[in-house]
Amino acid sequence: MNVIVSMGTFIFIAVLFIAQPWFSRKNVLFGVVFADDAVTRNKSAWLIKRRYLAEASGCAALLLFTDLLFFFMMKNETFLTSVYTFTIVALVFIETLLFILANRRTVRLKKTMQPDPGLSANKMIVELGKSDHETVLSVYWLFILLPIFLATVAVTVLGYRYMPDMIPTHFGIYGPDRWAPKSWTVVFTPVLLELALCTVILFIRRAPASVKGNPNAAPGYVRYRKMMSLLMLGFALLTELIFLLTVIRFLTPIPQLWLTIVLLANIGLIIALFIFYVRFARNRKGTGPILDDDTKWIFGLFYFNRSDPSIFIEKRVGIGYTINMARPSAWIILLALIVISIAAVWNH
Amino acid sequence: MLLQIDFASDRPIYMQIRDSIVTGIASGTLKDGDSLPSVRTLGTEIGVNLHTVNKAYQLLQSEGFIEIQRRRGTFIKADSTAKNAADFLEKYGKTLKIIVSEAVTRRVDRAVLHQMIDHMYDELEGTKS
Repeated sequence: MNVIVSMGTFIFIAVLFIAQPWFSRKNVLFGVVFADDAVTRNKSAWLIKRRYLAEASGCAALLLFTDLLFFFMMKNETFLTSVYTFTIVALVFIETLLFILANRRTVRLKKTMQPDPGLSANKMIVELGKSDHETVLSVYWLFILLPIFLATVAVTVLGYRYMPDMIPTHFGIYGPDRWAPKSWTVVFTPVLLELALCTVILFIRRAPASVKGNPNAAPGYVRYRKMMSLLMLGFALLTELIFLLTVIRFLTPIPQLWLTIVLLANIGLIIALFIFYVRFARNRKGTGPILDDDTKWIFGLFYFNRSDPSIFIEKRVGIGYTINMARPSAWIILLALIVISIAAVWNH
Repeated sequence: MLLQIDFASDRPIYMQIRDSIVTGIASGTLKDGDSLPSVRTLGTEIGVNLHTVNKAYQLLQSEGFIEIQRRRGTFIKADSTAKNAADFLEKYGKTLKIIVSEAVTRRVDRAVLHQMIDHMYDELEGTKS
């Protein structure tokens, strides 16, 4: 196990959790919606934020310290791997719990505040005179994924006979580092993953904003959603490319440089994702009446709304999208995604 | 055009959608041939069941205010409704009589009611021009 890489991953995950208060629109604090960003200047709200920061970074530091202690005292690889996995799971679990506690505190704070007239639980204003053409990314965009997808399937099917008995399934910075016995499930895992990605893009195209109430509650959201859908399409395209190179690699060696370029492009897209989010979502100031739908966001994290036909919705905290847990079809999609990812990991 | 939905209102949501679109046509904010969002898009935007939106659209179509084309989408049909003044009088004669009756029992002056209707006409035509 590489200490730098694994500790780097640990710190990255921890920072994402600690930074949660900054990964939402400015009138949202720990998943609780307010009429405007005045809440950021509220003294009690600031105390809740400070307490969360202290607790979240304290716990992360403690777990990291434990991890490092084991790393320097033990030499047993398998033992160290299980310790590391355990601390990562503990990190995710504890930080989520701390977030939920902060969410509860914010809910209580909101109850003590004067009811804001800008916040209403039963008023909703939407823009009518626009066709789907203008608001939803056309489904035809998905077709640009088709050529590489078909190429991957073709190479897999036609080249299966010529593939070696052991197939590389995992690629590190220095080339393949894990192999699995050849089988149809192993070679077709990339194809399944691509289909899963397509499904997600299909639903993100229509995902509503996490803050609603009127068209200016999340200004420019329609454009932002289109950009995010295109960005996801970019991710899918790069992922396809990696898979295509991977299956070609089963047959004949190709320069590591190609994969590195695709990997770098991927990192570029992740940076773009952050920039888009800050510029077009977080820094956009919402105005007008805001819908108070806190009861639909369990712990500020999980969306559960029976009357909303949306299957995916923009996350209230964090970049990206989440499912509407009141929709059975959303569960089926989530389950399928989990099964595909577990299958992919299993094959490795 | 903006559509306002009040979840706490006694008026069913599909009727609120229908009323808004009719008012939009009357005031000229929705013009003949204008596109409307699909049932799915409007449903997800408001956050209501797709059946609710579908009910509103079906009603509007049967009343002749909109046209639903399977592939191309939903469009405002402002012109065809203009011809059906007779239908309107038949449809709302009874309702208007109830309103007038109530006005009479409450001793609302005839001129006041006239004025109110005139004012509404002015308002809708004012936004048109």
